[in-house]
Amino acid sequence: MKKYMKSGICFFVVWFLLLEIISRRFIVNHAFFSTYDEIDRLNYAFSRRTIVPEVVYLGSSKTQADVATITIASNLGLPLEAVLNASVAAASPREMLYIYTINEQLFRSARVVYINVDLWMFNKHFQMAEKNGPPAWRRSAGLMERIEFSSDLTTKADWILGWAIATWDQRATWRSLWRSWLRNPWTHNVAPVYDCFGRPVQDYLIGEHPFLSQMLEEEAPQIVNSHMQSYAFNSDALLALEALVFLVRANGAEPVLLKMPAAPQYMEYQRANFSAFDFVWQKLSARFPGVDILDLPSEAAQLERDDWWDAYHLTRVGAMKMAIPLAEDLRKRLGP
Amino acid sequence: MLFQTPEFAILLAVTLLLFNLTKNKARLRVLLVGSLVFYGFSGPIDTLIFLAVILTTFILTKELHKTGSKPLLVGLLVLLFSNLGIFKYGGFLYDNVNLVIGSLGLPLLTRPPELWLPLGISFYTFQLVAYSVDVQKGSIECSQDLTEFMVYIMFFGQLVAGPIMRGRDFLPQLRSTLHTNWDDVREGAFYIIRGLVKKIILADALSSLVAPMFENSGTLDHASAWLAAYLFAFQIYLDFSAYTDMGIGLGRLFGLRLSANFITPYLTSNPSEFWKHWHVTLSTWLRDYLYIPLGGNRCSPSRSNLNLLLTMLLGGLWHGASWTFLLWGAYQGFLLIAHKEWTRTVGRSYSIPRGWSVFLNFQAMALGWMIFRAGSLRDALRLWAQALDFSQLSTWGSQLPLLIAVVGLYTLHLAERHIDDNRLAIGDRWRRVPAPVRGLVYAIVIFVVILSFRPAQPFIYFRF
Repeated sequence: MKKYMKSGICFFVVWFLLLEIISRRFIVNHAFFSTYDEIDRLNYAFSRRTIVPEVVYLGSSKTQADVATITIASNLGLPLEAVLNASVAAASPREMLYIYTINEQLFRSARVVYINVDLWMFNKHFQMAEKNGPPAWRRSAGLMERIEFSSDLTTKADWILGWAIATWDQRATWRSLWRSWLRNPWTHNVAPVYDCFGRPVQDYLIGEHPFLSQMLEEEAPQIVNSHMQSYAFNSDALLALEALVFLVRANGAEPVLLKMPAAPQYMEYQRANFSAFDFVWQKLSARFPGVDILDLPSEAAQLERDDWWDAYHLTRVGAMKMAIPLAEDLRKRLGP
Repeated sequence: MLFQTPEFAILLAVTLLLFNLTKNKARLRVLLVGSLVFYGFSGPIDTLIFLAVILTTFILTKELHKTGSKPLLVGLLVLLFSNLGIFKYGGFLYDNVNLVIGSLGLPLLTRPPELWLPLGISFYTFQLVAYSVDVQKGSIECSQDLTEFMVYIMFFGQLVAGPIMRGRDFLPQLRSTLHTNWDDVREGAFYIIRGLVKKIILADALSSLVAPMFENSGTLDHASAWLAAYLFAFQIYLDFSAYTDMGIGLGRLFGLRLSANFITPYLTSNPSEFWKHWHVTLSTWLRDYLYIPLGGNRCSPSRSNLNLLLTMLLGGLWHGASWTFLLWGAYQGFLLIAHKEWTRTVGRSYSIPRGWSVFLNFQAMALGWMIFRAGSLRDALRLWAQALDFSQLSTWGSQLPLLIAVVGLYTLHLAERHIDDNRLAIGDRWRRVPAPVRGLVYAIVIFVVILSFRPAQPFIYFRF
């Protein structure tokens, strides 16, 4: 090989390895099940907030839709901004930990932190059917997993290449970070973060009316299957939850693990087909002995069929009803 | 399988490794297996049809070589064109025959089963036709080795969307010992990266701008109609030339030289020059195997013009079974005839400054692309009506960002020509740049290509 080619290629390799180190050490930590844009917008909104919350809800689209913080605060006679919903769609404990850590300064004043937990949050292969290996999955998937996990040849080739070149694997994360870096206060403010009930709307459209009420029976299995597909327990998620609980406690707040109800059709289908994964609940109880697990059945809020927007999320009216048992629990914890 | 996909990257890496571990004839076999895997991804039926066509042509051309029989050649050509015709034009023919029958009040024909279009069928058919005619004429040596013949037709660098390689250019390369040197690797890498940049960064980004414009062609005003055509002109050029660049680069990695298919066509000053710079291997094929056999220009001017029109009509139809392609072919034919007549008459005493003629030629081609890209004849005519309605000149005022994008793309086109014309000097200067900076530039280019990569969009010419 000619000398000038050799030197150019050598330096190319050096620069590319540097890029790989950045991808593997830093970029990969921003690979989430939630979209980074959504997390970023929430963080930006929090960075501009001046009133500190007394209560924080961390969770996924489930808590986004179901927890109307303004209604809860009104029910308790608290200032409207005292209760904060800090949920993002498709959040597992890792995403919640990230949001909590970034905004620790703000959340430090909270007296109670509700952490939504559900079975799918501990499924390593969550979202695989929809996204063919989201960046969060790629973050921890090893070579054998990529080879063995069922998919078409094209996707598999993508995964194998991604195992070798992290920059390729995390290109979507790089793009998200790039976009968020390019963003300015003007673009951050374009999309509203909260609706008038204190629910984070963002990209996720929270329906006011039952969207597919008549189709609940049909769609419930689809949603359950997409949540539980190829279930493999994600120990990273458990570690993240431990870290989150530890941090919340260290800041003097009371952590509460919150199990929210899904539509009866969802629950029935999940019980019938995935009861084997109830071990996750047992694992949580055993792992967090001193932490309350608040299990709210749908009866607690007297939810009816039309209160479900789909088989997993509540409508606005449903969220109003759900605010009653949530406020009751909170009243007990906050005391007089 | 697309060049810009991980599965192809893996196939290429394995093929290159095996190619470099083997010698002489074994290298041909490696290329053949690689090409079979490459085409195999399009499905077993496509592959079987393709193999059957190749084998039939191989056997019959050997016979042609011995006998030189014209009826045998005609038979073979009928076979090859029938294969193309059934898959590509069957549905179109049926629809239009039924339209005529229906208008006469006669009972309609039963619809034949829906057929798909086997990958690269137009390209390999033309390549096989050229080979068969050349063998019959004795202008090339008939291939006696099936592996060599299959690599000639199937080599993955040119299989799906050209260049349409001629036997006289490609077979001698396969017959000599295949070897590569570092210059080949450097050139190959240059072409592949250039192709990736054109396709992934530019063409795919343009596609998301162009598609909604043509999908809503009814709502486009004067300026938007022109801008849609300009942007599509660059999209199709970047997309198609990207494929050729990558094909040429891949060829170089295996010591093969594929023909250039594009030479910055939007810098040409007339339609005739345009066709010497746009899809060169198709236009030379049409010239050698259609225009010249029809009589070419060795006949009366009117007959020669008719030959030109027929050639371009068939060239248009080659792109697909649709009236828009036929009309586009006719339009290109008329442009060529008009230019020929202009040169023969007015052009002898008057010439337009080159800058203006390049500008006018680009406008003429943009009008052509409106027809080519339009969803139907009605859409095409509507686009033309808007584009030629010069009472709406004020609409340009609101289109500054897109206009800047077009100017930017044209500047890149000029830059491409500058690079091509001054490769040696630029290469020389580049070599003097400190190695860390060169390495950094390579890394940034690759990095941007990786980041721009979204679910692979097929090349536009794959569907032809």
